[in-house]
Amino acid sequence: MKAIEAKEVYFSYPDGTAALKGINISIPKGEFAGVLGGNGSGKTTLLRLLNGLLKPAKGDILIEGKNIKSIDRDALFTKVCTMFQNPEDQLFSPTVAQDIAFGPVNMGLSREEVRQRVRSALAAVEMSDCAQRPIHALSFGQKKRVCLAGVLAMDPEIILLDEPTSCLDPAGVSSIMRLLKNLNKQKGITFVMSTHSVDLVPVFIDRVIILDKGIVAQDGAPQAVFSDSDKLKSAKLRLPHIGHLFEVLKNEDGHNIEHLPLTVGEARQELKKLWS
Amino acid sequence: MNDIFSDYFAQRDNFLTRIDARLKAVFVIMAIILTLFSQRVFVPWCIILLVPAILLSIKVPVKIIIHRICAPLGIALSILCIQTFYHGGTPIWRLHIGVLSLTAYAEGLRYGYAMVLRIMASTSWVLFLSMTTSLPKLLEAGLWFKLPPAWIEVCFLTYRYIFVLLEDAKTVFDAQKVRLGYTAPFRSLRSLGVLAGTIVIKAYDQSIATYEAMMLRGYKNINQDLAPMERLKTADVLAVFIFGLILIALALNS
Amino acid sequence: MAMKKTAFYLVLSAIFCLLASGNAWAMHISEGILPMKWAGLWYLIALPFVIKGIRDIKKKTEINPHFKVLLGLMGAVVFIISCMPVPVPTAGTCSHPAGTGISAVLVGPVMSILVTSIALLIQALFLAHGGLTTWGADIVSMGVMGSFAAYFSFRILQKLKAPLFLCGFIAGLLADWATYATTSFELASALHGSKSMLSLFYTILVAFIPTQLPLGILEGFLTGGMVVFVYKRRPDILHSLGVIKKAIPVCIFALGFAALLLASQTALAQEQGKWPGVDVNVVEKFAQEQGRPAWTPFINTDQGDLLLFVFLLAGAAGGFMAGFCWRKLFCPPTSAIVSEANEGGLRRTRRSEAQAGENKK
Repeated sequence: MKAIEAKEVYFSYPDGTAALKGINISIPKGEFAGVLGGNGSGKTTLLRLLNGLLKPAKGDILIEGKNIKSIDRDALFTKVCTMFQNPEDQLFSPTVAQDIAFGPVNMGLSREEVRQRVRSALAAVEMSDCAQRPIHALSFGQKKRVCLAGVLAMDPEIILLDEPTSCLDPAGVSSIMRLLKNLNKQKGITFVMSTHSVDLVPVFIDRVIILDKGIVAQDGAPQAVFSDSDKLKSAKLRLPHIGHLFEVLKNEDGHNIEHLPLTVGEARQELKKLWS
Repeated sequence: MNDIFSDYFAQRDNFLTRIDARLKAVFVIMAIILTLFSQRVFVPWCIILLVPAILLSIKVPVKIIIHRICAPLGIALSILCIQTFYHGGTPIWRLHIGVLSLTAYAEGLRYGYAMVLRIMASTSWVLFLSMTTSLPKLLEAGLWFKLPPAWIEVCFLTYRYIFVLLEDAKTVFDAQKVRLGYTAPFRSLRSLGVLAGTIVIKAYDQSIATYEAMMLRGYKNINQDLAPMERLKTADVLAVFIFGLILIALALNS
Repeated sequence: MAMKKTAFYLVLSAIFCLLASGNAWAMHISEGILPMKWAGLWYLIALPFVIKGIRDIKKKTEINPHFKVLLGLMGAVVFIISCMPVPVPTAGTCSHPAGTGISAVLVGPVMSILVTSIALLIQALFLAHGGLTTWGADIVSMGVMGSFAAYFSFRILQKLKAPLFLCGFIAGLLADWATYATTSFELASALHGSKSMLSLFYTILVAFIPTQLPLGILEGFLTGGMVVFVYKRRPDILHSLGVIKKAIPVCIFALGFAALLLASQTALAQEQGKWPGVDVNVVEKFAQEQGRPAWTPFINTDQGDLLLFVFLLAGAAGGFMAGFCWRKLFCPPTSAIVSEANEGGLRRTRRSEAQAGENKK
């Protein structure tokens, strides 16, 4: 079953800027999809269409087969949750526990259920000891985790992530990505993540959608998408560093490399082959 | 941030911060009222000595306490001067400045002195409340006391976003400073205007983003997350009751 | 003797000024200064305004759903601006603007009173500026007087087509000065004892001059600069908040003018009884001589309470028209707000994409 679909979606801003032109994507349930693209390619606009904040000028957005227009807004916001790029946009309560409880309380759950959800969400993001801390006393990485906890507390089926790793240090990036991947595997939550970070993609993401000036330039597994470096350049992207290294080894040093490795593990295997 | 807000101390865990915010709020308000009604100097002196001692016992730095009482102390001393030279009939001292003579009166001095003590004692109580009770807890207490939920909700948002906008303001200020934005008077005024404008724009944009985020989590124009407070603990009630009785006894005797 | 008295009050003011200026927080009345009855009185005066503000939140939120969140952010803006250190040359130290001028211009006077009450509470609790018993008095001085002075001066200058900077400058200036005049009044009324309240009022007023006079001017520059900057950078914000309004229909002015004329004519009629004009002294005299005496007026306003009744009618007519056209006068149109809010949301999308690009770099 498809979790999210966009069928011939067009969207333009009031000033006439055509942000999306004929987008067709289909993300199965339980998949971890990444939306890549340069600035102004339409990544954030696409996410805002998928969560119902914006309405497409043409075309349809389907959530589990149902047109988004026919879904009750409360049900939609419970099923499809969004984690914003800037945590300050999303953290509006004074304390961690209050912010995480915001969604479940609005869902009409009982106090006990809300407390239970807050506890499990904090445990999922490994911040159980920070429940009563004020938001302003948290570091940037901790705020990102609290944002994620706030979203998890609503028990969604689909989570949209707008650049979840932006402004994080390398340890923070791998920590949050590991967390997301575990949630994807263990709870079967469908993730749609917009990002610039091409190095992350092959490690964590099952399917890559590349947007280029409002159209889908490529859509497929990372290996297939990153095999065409010209299309990547046109979309203002690049190969992951590992892939770029092996591309140079292949094109300029004449080494026989069939498939460009995109992760450290794949590179290691390829190097062993080269050295043997 | 900590040199602006004493909220930081209210986040710590000690026997005072654990007392219910409702009880502390009621106690402090009653204490201030009793202090203002007291005619003799004994009660205010007790408070001026006791409250800082209590704050020191929960490891609030002396520097912070002194910093907080400086501004009210200045105002209090000026009130003392006005009362001394303005009120009374029994002259105690004369100051001659050319043809002008200023007369200090005993009644004015006494009255002014009592006022200074009342001001410092009342300020001590507010300091006590702010250093042992965080604003979110006070606002929850306010909700319990049936203050309008809409006002409380706006308070919560204000408190939350003070820190965000303060960081933004500091960043913009520093960016202006390193580009010589404050090296001349008119340039400084212009830079301040730009700074204020930048904060307003950021606040507006932040409000839209925050509202969208709230909407996506089911917000419908009223924050239902303002949780009711738990039952009052007997120990807390007893402690506050006993202190309240002591204070009333002192006030009645004075 | 009068000179000596004046000199005495000036010296007293100087002492007050020296001691109270410090960091020039004098606009906040510290905890414990006001006796309970005066503190209670100012609370009673402030309360209706705050209640009105709370009631209006619901109505405004129905028109503009994100208004409550905006108010929260505006409260933070007022707090931060009132924490901004502004060097005051005459005080030799830094002072702090009120900030209510800015909020009154942006969200209107009633909402400004509400956000000021919040900012004042936080300042009283966590910065020891102001107090809990003096919260009511501070709301009246900074919130009520400051906001209304700023708002009405801004609007009047706008209608007179003054430059935007000047509108903002005068708004900020008058917000500050109205605040300090009210604070002086509050202090004088509570502390004058058996002496004359006015003399103490003037003493405190004069004492505030070295800090508050230049601070008012600085706050004027701050407010004017802010309005112009926001207008140049993001005029949509000023449009959506109704700061830049459409022209008021001429008929409202005409009706208002007519009401004013009616009131002035009746006032003049009253005055004619005291100072007979040329019509009585000259025209009627000649008319009498020519055998054409003056007729009794159809409506003789010199009898009984008729004049007062006419005043009442004029006031009622003007008030009714103002109330009937309140939305046209002061509320921005619904469609404009909704579309501006949506556009703002969309603009944020594009800005966040641009920000993401900068982060990437």
